[in-house]
Amino acid sequence: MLKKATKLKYIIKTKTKSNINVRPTSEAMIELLTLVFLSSLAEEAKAKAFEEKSATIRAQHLRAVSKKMLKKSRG
Amino acid sequence: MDPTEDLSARVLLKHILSTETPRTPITRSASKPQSSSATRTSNRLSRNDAGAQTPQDILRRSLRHKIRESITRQSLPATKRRTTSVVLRKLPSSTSMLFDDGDTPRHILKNIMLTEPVKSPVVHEKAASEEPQPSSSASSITRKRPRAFRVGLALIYWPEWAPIEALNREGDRNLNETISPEFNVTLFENRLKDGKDVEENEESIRDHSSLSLSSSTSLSLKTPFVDVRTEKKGLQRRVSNRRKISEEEFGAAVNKRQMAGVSSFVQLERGLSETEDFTLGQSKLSEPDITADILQCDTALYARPDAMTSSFSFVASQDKPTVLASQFQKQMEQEEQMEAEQSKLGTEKSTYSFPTEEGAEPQNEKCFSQSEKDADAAEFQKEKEKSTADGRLEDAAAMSEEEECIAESQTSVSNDTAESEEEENGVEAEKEQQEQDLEHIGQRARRSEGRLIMPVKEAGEDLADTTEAGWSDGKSKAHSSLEMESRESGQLRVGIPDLAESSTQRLKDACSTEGEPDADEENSFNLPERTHDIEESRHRSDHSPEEAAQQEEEWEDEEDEEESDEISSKTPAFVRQKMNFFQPDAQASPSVFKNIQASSSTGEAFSAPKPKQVRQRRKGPAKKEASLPKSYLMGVFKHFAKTNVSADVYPVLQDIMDKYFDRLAVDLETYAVHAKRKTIEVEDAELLLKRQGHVNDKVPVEVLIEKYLRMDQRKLLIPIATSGNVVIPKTRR
Repeated sequence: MLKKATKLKYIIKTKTKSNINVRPTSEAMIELLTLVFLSSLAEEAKAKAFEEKSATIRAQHLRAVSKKMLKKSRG
Repeated sequence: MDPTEDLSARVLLKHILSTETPRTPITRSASKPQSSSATRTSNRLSRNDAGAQTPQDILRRSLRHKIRESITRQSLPATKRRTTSVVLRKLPSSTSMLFDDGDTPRHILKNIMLTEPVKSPVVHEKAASEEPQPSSSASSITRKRPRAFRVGLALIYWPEWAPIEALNREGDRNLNETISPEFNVTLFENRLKDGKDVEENEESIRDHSSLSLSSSTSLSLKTPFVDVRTEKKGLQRRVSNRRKISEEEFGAAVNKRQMAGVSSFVQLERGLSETEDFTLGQSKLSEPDITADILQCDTALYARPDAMTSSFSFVASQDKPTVLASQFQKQMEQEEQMEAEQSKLGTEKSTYSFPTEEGAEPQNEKCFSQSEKDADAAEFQKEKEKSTADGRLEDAAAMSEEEECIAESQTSVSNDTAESEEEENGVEAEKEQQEQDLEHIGQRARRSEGRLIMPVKEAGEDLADTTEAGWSDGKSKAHSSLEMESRESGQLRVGIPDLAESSTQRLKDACSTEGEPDADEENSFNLPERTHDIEESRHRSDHSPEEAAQQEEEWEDEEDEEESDEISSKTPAFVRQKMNFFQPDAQASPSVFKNIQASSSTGEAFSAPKPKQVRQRRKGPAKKEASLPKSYLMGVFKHFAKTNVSADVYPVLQDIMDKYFDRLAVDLETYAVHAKRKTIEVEDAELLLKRQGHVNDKVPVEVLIEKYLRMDQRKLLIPIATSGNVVIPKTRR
């Protein structure tokens, strides 16, 4: 988490339809958003893995929670 | 504290007041010992042990004395008490005491409290110390209106019957001598009787005397006395504490930041190496990292984004030499051949340049020699300038240096010719670095990477042959292209006899369309290169990133098409390999094609005037597959998961993040557009957080910011006020 989220600005810009700018401050906010999302994702996946009595998070756990998390982060 | 004593004291007092006539204290002193001894208790004022009246009398006086002294010194009331109590203790022996009525100061104090409830204890104590003594005689003594005089802090109510002259004496330190006990008694008696009046008087008087106000309860009622000194003290103390803390904290924060900055910097470097599946670079990162640290130690309190990016480039570029070196080793075999050819080329170049223009000649030669010399340096430079993210960029950067040199000469030479073409070529050339720079760069960077770089990749046919052939083909191509369009280099073409003419002819057609724009550059460009290479070199010299990007794209398309037509199907793969040119291990050995790519990449590394511009260009074509770096994603996910995470989650995770970013971008854009803005602002992101439910009334945004973000980002978002009215970041009015 101490690393810089590289290319975030670029990612967002490519995904937007119209030509929109991103401020460096809002870039930081976007990073915050992604971090929050990832943390909640990880938490859910961890819970799911525990459910299946596995200490390691595997892909199937992640897939199961992903849909729910994506829906939640719609806003 | 015994109730019995109290009762007895009360009883005694009553008795005394009722029965006994007002007498001098001395007379009382006789009776006092009886009562006092019986009712001896701890007194707030004076913890007189058994002792009795005499000590009490002395205590009284001493108390008065002390009080006055303390008042003059403006000590706290409590201290007075203590001093008096101490004094009282210290003076066990006593002279004639007034306090003989068996009324312990305590009991009298109680009475006083009853009568004058509002007064502060200190006042009462003073009074108590004095009053018990005169209390016995209070009844007898006619009560007169007390005259209150201010003596230091104490309000001394002078009985009217007492001579005022005695007041002066009170100022003396030796109260015991000057003030008669009678006076004291009367004072207390008056006080007792005229408690309320005294109160009023006191109050009125107190208004005048600030000092006295400090200790009296009545003061507190009516006059809000503020002990300035005490307050100041308190304030002063607080201020000094604050300063201390702030300084220490500041130092600690500075250290923290420096540590964090260094650590983050180092981590960044490592992160850079890890990105883009650059496995080679990782293995040999040790040296570059060290040099990077030394060269770019960031002493700022917080890592600046610019510094980071520059460090990016620097570190990234350093990875190149290691990669290139590995590539070098692999293709040592070709060195000899290349060298031989190079020597040939050298001669050819000299001859080549001759016919063009004499003016250009020295330049070219200069450039040539410089380019050769710079080849090695350029490698490092290009390496430095490269970014791990984009191999293309690095190539372009690497190439740029050489190309600059060459381009300068070229431009000078071919000014008349289509400069626009040159620009176009230059633009595209940079774009096509990976494809074609290999040969081109290889020629330039003979020493370092020429071995690796196969000059001509376009010539699929030639490529199929030995590398040497490819190289020669490259030369021939260059020549052919020159021939095509060199208006100046008619002779040049002639001057290049050695190369395989047949191949050149083959390439002619291929290069005809491609080479036209390149011809000019090529003419001046001594090195036999493909048209693309020359273009690329020109591009870099031109430094027109935006245009170049477009032009490069066009060129690439054209060239690709042509290449595909003529050359084997490797070209399309070639295009694809643009992205993955940095995986030499997998691709280098098998095909010449890949070698070319590597060479082109390395060649590009040579010319490194403006890596930033090159990077921007790289983003343009076919970079729509935007995703976070794998290391970053996995690292963050592992950190948040806190349990083991298997590696097979990565593709799933990437897919999820892709979708997430889609939605995120759409949402943010919607918010911004709704606000009729063209920029995504902080408030847009904040709104999104609120809608997601991460920020609510209980959890403000700042909490999340502080929780998750790094310090440099936090600085952007939350203004920090530092000393001297300085706010970070700078608030613009």
